[in-house]
Amino acid sequence: MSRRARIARPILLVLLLALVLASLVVGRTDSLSFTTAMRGAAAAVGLGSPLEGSLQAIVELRLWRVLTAAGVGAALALSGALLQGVFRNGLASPGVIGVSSGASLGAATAILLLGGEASMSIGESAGRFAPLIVTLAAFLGAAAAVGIVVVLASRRGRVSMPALLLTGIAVNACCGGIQAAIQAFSLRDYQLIRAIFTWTFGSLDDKSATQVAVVWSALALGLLVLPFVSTELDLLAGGEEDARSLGVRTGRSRALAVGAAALIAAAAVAVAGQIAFVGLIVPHLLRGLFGRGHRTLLPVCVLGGAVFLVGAEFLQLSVLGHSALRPGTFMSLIGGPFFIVLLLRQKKEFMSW
Amino acid sequence: MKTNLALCLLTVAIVVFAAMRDDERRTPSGLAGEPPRRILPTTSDQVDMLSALVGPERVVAMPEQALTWSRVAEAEGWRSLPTFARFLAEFVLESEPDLVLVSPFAEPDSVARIRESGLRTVELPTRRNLDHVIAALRRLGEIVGETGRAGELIADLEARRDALVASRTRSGEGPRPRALSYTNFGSGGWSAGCDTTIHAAMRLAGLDNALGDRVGHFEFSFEELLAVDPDLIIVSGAFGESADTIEALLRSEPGLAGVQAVVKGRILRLPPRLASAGSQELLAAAELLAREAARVLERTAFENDR
Amino acid sequence: MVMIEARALHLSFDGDRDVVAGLDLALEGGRLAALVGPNGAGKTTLLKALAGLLEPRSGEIMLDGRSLEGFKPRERARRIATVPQEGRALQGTTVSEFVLGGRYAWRRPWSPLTAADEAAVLAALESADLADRREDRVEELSGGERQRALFARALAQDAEILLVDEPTAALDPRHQLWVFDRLAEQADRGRAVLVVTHDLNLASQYADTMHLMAEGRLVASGAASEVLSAEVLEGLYGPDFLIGEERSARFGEPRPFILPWRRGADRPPEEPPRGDPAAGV
Repeated sequence: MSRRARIARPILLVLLLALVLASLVVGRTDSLSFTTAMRGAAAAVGLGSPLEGSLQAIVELRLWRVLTAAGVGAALALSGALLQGVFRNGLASPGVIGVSSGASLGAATAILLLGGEASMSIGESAGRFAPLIVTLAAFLGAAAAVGIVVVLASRRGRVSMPALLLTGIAVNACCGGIQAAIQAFSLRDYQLIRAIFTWTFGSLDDKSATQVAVVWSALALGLLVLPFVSTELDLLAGGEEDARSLGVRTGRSRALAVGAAALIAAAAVAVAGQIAFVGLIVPHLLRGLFGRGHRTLLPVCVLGGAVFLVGAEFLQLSVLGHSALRPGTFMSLIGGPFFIVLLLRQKKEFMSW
Repeated sequence: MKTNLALCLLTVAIVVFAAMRDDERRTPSGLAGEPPRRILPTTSDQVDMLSALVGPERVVAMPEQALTWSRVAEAEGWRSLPTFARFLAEFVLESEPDLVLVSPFAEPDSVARIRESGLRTVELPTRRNLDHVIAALRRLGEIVGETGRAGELIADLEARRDALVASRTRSGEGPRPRALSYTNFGSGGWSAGCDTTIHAAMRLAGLDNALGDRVGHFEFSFEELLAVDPDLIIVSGAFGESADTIEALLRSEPGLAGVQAVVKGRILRLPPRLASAGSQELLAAAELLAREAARVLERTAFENDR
Repeated sequence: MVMIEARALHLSFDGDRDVVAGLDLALEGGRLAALVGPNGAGKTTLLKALAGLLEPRSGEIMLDGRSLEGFKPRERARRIATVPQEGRALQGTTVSEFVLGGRYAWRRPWSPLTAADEAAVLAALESADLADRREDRVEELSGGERQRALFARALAQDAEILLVDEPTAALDPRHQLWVFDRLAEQADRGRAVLVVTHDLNLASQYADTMHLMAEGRLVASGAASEVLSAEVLEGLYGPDFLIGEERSARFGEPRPFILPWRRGADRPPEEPPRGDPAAGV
């Protein structure tokens, strides 16, 4: 590992912690003093007495919000880095190749079957498990999207760039179309529409502890998989046969990596909806800093993704305050131009595809 | 390696923390027996109804949209109330209300967070006709401890409704004019069938909804408009002058030359505030519709005998 | 001692046509074997099958009395190392990281680098004369250095069977000899080494055994002087070559060498110009 990586890792970690704490101070409503926010945070983890009035609840809302943002950012970035490793292509990301829209469609279908309350974590009835069911459905959708991409765009472990992008367009179009149809047919049911709308544009507000647990559990599973795929992805860069000759179970490694990528992206989408470009931008930026070796890159993407989304939300809330944009909207505003710059820089390369 | 292990531990710690906290609920703080002093309505319809029962001093904040959509938009004490842009738990908690009125359409996640924080929430059922509105007013009166004022308001509404029905029977037994609600902001037309407030207002005003056999709000094309050929078209723009725009659009479309209501200028305008009012304003909408329909039909009556 | 053995091996890519048809081959420890033959003979295919990268259509490859297909990938990679013709690496990989790839089969997912791993990488880098370039990036290496990096990676794999595919194709004569010196060195340490090559002369002067392959079958196997007979060669390559003999440094005795030599259409094929190949060495 390079020296730069060794220095940058703790910096990212400290930055994340600082941003998390700062996000308790700044929120949708008036900023709190730093000490108040810290006392509230301490009370939330069981140290000290809670703040007076609704302040404690406000601090905790902000805590869940920032934990959701961190988890979702980390999940999307890790998912993107894994997919880029598997497909050996820097343009692969949950949004581009259709994993996010697949997950979104899965979630929308689950909502359609369970009713608009499915997104609610607090069950007066059986709703308590609803976030898990929605996440599972999102995972199935994401897995199906990846499956289509794997079948259509790769041959003997090699992926053609145009095929990957075209497949992504096709998958996105299919999922978008089906989802729009679901919306059109359920137009009467306002509950459904609103829940599905939330999925399309993303939201990090008012998340429950269960939802935080869902996205971080998926992330934990993804992290457990990393030691079994990092070196393998490095070696797979030398080609399928080469990796096998070194003892890599290429099929299993790829399946694990893709499965983990689909699962964590699905959890992120199920909890916060579609937030585009995090999975594309973060791995790209971090590759420049830390190199392409997956054993360094993948864990660092977890930190970087969290920093990125939490930071973007913090920036939004500090500048725009209560009228801050939905995270999906904001990300598209930054992500679109970034994507264009990325393409410009690689113009020579992609003109030759 | 070490980074990965550390991240795993951190992740698991957050999951455990979240899972533990998930079971914790605070008990509601507001006592149900005492009338609430710090009420927080979350839709402009609720503001409408609330403003008829209590003064602004008992309301802590209202949604921003009430400044455009509610009858209190011009009322001095109400205008100066703090407002919030979106229904999010943090805005609600900030105002420290002792009663939160939530709508069935509110984001379930946000409602859940508000309940968890120990605030008392009451969900008023959806209101799509005057009976719904009256029931909701009665309920609201009990909740805020103003049953007397609610009773007076309901009596007034019922009297006005009876007057409306009476004027209708006076004006003769002919077939009811067929009306159609139409909105178009340039991206396609919309209309409404039964089970909507505009439908209820039409019925109260003595009009037939030409699309009464359909349900809810739906997209509506020029072709369908030609086929339906209503006697009256009710337009309402959500934004400022847009009723003008809709009317101009209907008149400028050559394909609609065959629609009687367009040709004869039988286009009624409903202020946006009244177009989808799930409050006592529904009756005001009906009264306005009845007046306007009578005026327009009278003005163009001689053309009918052509 | 036989380390790996192919029995009645049939190999094909798509299931239609056999690229290798009914082949028997055994590799012994401590011996350098060379696999030669014209283009399209199926040499590389055979090498892949021996490396466990291609499943036989029929027949078997036995390693330690067990079918190679029954080995887990890691277990197999600890026994068999392959040096491919060319290799790619993740952009930005340093030479020592690349060579560390050879230790994959010996490492466990959650455990850090062991002293044995580091020692093996260092030894391999030194054997391949790359010790001073270990911090350089793989993409900065010349063609010959890249070849050596691939070789070093296979050495780091510490396997008793070494399968090498066309190691000298892009090298100048000095480095060609250097490569075969290293291969002979590995054989002398007890490994079973099989090298696929077009270079009959390098094979002749270094290999303990030569296997001559054509159209998916072994045409001849044995000592260089037996395999490189005028009859056999003419059957394979046509009449246009010269055959000679020179002392091999490895064996300290003469070995045949071959020179491609256009004889011209006016002159009918005749006796080989020098020596009597049938007499052997």
